[in-house]
Amino acid sequence: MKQILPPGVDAAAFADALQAFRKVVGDPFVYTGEALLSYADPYSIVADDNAHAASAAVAPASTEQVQAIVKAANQFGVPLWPVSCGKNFAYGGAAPRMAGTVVLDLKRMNRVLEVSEGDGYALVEPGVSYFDLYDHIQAKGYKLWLDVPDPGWGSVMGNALEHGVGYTPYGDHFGMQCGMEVVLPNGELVRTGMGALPGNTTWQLFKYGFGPYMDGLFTQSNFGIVTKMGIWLMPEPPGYRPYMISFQREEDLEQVVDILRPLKVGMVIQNAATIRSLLLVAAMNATRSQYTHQPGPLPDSTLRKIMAEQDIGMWNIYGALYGPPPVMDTLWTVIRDSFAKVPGARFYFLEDRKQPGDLLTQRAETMRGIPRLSEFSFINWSGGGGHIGFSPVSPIRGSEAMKQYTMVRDRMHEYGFDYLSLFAIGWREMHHVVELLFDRRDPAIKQRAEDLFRLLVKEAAAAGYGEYRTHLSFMDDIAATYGWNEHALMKLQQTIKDALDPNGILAPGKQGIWPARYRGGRT
Amino acid sequence: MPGNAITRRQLLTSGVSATTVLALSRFAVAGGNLSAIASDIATFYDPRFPISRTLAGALPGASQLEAVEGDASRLLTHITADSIGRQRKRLQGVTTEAVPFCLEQMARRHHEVRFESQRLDRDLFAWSLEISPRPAAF
Repeated sequence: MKQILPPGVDAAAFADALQAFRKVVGDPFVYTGEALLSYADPYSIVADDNAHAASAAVAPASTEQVQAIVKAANQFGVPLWPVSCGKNFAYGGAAPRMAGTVVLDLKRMNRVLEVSEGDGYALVEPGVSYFDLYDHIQAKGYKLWLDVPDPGWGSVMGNALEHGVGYTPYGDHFGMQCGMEVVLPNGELVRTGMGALPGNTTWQLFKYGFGPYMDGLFTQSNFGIVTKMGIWLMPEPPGYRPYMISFQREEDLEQVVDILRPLKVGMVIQNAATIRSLLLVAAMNATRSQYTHQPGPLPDSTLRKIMAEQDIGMWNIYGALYGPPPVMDTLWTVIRDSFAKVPGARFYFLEDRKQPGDLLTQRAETMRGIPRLSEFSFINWSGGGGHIGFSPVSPIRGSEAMKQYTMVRDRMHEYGFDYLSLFAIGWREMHHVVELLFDRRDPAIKQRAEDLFRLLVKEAAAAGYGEYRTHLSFMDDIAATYGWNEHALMKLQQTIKDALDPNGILAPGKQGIWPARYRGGRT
Repeated sequence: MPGNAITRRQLLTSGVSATTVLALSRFAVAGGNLSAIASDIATFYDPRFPISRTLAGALPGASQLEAVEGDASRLLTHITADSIGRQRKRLQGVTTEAVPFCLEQMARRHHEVRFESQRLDRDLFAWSLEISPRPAAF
């Protein structure tokens, strides 16, 4: 493999830096050459294979080792890209934003430091995956549920720091985060919230402590390396009942979203319910070629055939009820009666869905916090495995949902892609998560996907929609759309960046935030 | 006939393309380059695609075949630390892409991994994942 160096660092200084890292972690935990394949973006969408190539990786086992590595990085001017489990594949995996950055792989820091069953929280290190924490809770017999995102191999901490979501009532992961320990870019160690009070007993119980709330600064940012984090866990409810509601027509989306908003805001719908498009549901069980070998948008006749064969709708709500049975019965009556106003709505519980691999059987586990990998089935839909998420945010309004849907669907069809998406319903907004599937082995299709993505970002911004998260290759594009008042927010972020990280060693370019050292012509 | 080479008659009656056969034969040769660890091999096919069973049965060392559709969640028990123990193990199959991708990514977390795959058509991949216990230093 061709050796890639960090910008502005010569081979001798880089070799000295790696030697310093080896002194900290030991030879087996500094990776170069072929070992770096694990840190490549498996779904890279850009033509340049080296656009996000790491120069090396280093895997510390403790906070003290992280501090020592950060100090060495400052000494040699070597940039670091921290990753926890590195499984955020639709957004770049473990690969760094800037070619030549050294990946700081926190996978060995994988201890569940504490679980309080009574208070309902866990304190974890970055390398603890959802599978790990779930296994720990099961092994100990705690009556607690965790909240998991779709693939369970990701980091509990990493997902919360990236503003990820899950599907129980605790689905807002950063909202459920409480207390951090952070290594700053100069190597200093801080604890946030109540953790700053020596001898405190409430670090994982009260988020805000005293003074400015700092935790948000360390999410989707490059201002520090979080080495411990508290996460709230849901007490096991006395009852649980997952459900699915299907709707038969495209245009039903508007009415469905308008019905859903007051139910969600009023907490009749308790969890982070999702509305899934026909093809996203279908792709969990089938591939495109099982229905057609023709390119281009699927005709209505094919869509109807898929709906009939899989007994699914053009739109499909997956939700769940939690609590004592009488409470669930009451909530369900309200939910059913509300959506029954949509002509053709169909209602299902688990016992109604007997087809092998049915999505409700999979969602039934996810919505009760059992980690799985089922969601990855959709990458089989069109063949080639590549996918990235386009995720604009909108109000929970039917007209907005239809506007986003038609805007994105039409562009996807124009560029030769199928529309697969879900609307994840939050407290006051919804994420429209669109899965752009492409054949990662076909350069022409990748180029089309990249062109489409950049166009979608621009058109969404022009309509007032911003993405909440994105792939490495589009961080600058999306940061630029948050440009109110001559990019005042980015200027503030850069000011903080330069104050905390004057040598620019921590995650250059993360979320479009570049340190002065690499800013160059960038604004 | 699991474990045996695929016969000409099977291929002719399966409807599989010549390109697919050629790709699989290349893959089988590559699979032969993996370490001889035939004592612990698990072989998978996708029941949604009948040809996958025939082709999976022709992979080197295939004996009992296990069905799996697109979701690899159920197969994770094959790659836990307890399952691997001190032994090397090979998982292989002819399935859609999500299955080997998820298994490879999960296995890399805890084990040494050698992975090979060959695309057979739009949907199916022949693949082999050889897993060894990671050195104790980890």
